[in-house]
Amino acid sequence: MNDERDGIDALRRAIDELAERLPAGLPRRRLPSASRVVVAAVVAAAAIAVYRLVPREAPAPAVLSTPAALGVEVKVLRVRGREVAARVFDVARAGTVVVAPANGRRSVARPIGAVVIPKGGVQ
Amino acid sequence: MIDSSLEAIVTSPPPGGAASDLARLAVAARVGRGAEEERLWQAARPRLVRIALALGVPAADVPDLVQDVLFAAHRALTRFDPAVGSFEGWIGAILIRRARNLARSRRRRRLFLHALRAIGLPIAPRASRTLDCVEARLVVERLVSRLSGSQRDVVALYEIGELGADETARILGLTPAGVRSIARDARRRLGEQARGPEGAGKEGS
Repeated sequence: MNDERDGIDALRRAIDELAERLPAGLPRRRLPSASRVVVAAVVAAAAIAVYRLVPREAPAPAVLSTPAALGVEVKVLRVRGREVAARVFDVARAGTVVVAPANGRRSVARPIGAVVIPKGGVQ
Repeated sequence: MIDSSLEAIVTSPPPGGAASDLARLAVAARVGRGAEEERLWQAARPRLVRIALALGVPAADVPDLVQDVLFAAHRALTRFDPAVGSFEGWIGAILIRRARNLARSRRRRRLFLHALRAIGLPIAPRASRTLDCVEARLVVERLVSRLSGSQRDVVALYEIGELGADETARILGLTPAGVRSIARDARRRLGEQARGPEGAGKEGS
């Protein structure tokens, strides 16, 4: 029985000695959840502001697509203020063609007033 | 708002000394008394440190683990019910869970570092810490390493944490008789280790 107590007492003494040497440590304070939300909102607002303020270069003129069929040549189109290469999808009619940006998203194509130039000719 | 049963616990005299004092402090802290809560954590901390060391948590990790446990207890303090068990048992259960999580994450980290070394990435060895040279740390590690997992839990809570057999059994999912039996085996094993040829650490503590 004493042998049994010796072992546990040895462990207890060693633990006591070790515990005294450990740093007491102050309780860590974490921000309450409301403060964390505020911090996250400030960081997000700052990121959005930086994104808007940093000047971005206008996209380089796109490479012209393959000359369109139908004997017309659509060089560039102005789509939402930008000039993009375009491709003819449908028959030109009354100076208007159904076109879409050269990225091929036909679903977004809509008739717009495009400059239709007779092949090899002038406007 | 404190209900009548809690009020009775707060106002009744402590029947069993320190354990009841902690429960009373906990109940007082639950209703927003900051000073009581501060005293509660100060009073609970030393026992948690000892239990963590007995569980085999590396000494360098013990302060962080205990702080984690105290923080978790602070957040869950409103769920502490003195009618179910003692405050020491309640916070001891939190400590056991957190220590097991820590052990699992350490195993994963070891495997990860091993894999990184295997593919030739230079991994700097852990910086030397002051506690590495403490003889007591070696003694604790040597003695604790001789115990099985369940013996370690029982020794930590029942012997070192001085929780009762009932409380320890409730935390570990055992019977009180099982706790006493495991504790007896653990004491025997520790005794053999302490008096054996490798038991020189007994003097070094």
